[in-house]
Amino acid sequence: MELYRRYGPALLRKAERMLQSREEAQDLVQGLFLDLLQRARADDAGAIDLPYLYRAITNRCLNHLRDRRNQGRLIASHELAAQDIARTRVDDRIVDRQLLSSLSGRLDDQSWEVLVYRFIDDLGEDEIASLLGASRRTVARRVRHIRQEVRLLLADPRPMTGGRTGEAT
Amino acid sequence: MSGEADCVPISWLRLERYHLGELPPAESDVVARHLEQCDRCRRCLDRIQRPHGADLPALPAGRAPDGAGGAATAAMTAPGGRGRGGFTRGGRSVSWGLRALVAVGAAAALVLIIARPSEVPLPRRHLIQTKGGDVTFELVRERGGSVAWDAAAYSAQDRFKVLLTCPPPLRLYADLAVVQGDGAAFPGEPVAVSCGNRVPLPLAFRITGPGPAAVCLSVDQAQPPARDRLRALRPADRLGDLPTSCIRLDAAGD
Repeated sequence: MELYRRYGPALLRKAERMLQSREEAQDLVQGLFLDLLQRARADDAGAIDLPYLYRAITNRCLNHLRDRRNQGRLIASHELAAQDIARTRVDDRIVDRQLLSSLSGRLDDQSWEVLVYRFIDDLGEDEIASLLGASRRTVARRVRHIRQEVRLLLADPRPMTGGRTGEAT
Repeated sequence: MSGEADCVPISWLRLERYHLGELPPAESDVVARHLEQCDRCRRCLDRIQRPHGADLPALPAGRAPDGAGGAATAAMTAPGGRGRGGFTRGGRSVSWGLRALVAVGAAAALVLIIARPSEVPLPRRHLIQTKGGDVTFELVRERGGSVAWDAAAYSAQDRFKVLLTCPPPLRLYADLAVVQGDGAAFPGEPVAVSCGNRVPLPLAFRITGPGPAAVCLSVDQAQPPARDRLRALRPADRLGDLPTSCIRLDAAGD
């Protein structure tokens, strides 16, 4: 599958940044392409590019993190894994897997997705707007909301609610 | 040449597209100029440019999906894509069937399945009939880089994954057990899964115990399936009265 050979490594790196687990990233990337292989139609092939797949794998990773069983599988070295590549932070805080999971009960789905693009993938607001098909103003508003929630979380780290019921991966 | 304090990061997505040569020329020039000035972004690009092939599991593309047109599959599998791949990955050494996974299920309460005696060649798609529609599951084995869809044996080095097919929009709970001489082991917790065509369960597992084994899937639409009866199973058991479908595997060399 040419798409897999071309884009698989990029998606693997992206999923690994989010999950800080190579094995989990491999499983999710493979699952994504297996689905594509099974479901895509010939006339879809031309529409599939890296931004499209970026969104697809982002949502798979978020669903994976949303599952409470996976949330519990935090690895002790997650900070180390994120440290040397993090370029964008929220108030000096790296958005790692733990923080990402902690925010799952505080942010709506699209804000959670924006959080990933802005603070893990380092996309600018224009890029995010283009990726989501939203206005830059909307993205900026969501980014402000995210920053606010992170500050609240860090000031008052209530237990994870797991409030999103069960989308399994 | 650091300029890091002023760095407005080039996003990972843009760096990836730059690396792939997919950016428009003007945008590519901007990125190139930024990289000349910014160590941090250049380190990120270095990371992208590291050889990564060994970390990318090969994709099992053995068969066209049911109902999918050959042209569609061919288009998606491009050069040589219909060949067999394999999920190769760095070995996970976990004791026996490790993380597996599951998902499937069906209608009202439980499902019924049928386990065949081992001497009868088993169909490779195992059927669970439910009120909501048939559910099938397939066991895919990776061994030494090659994939088998119809494996009848296992060795300790093999890695298995499960694909489920059931009618959307059903959502089902499923549980997976590996049954051997001393009873059943559960590679993972029951999971909920949204039905679709060959939905790959996200985890993989190995079987390391001696003797024949059966990989059994149990499904329930309403709740995670109870494990009591699975725990009592033995590989030789007939499972026709259980809400379970099993695929029997012999140990390699048996």
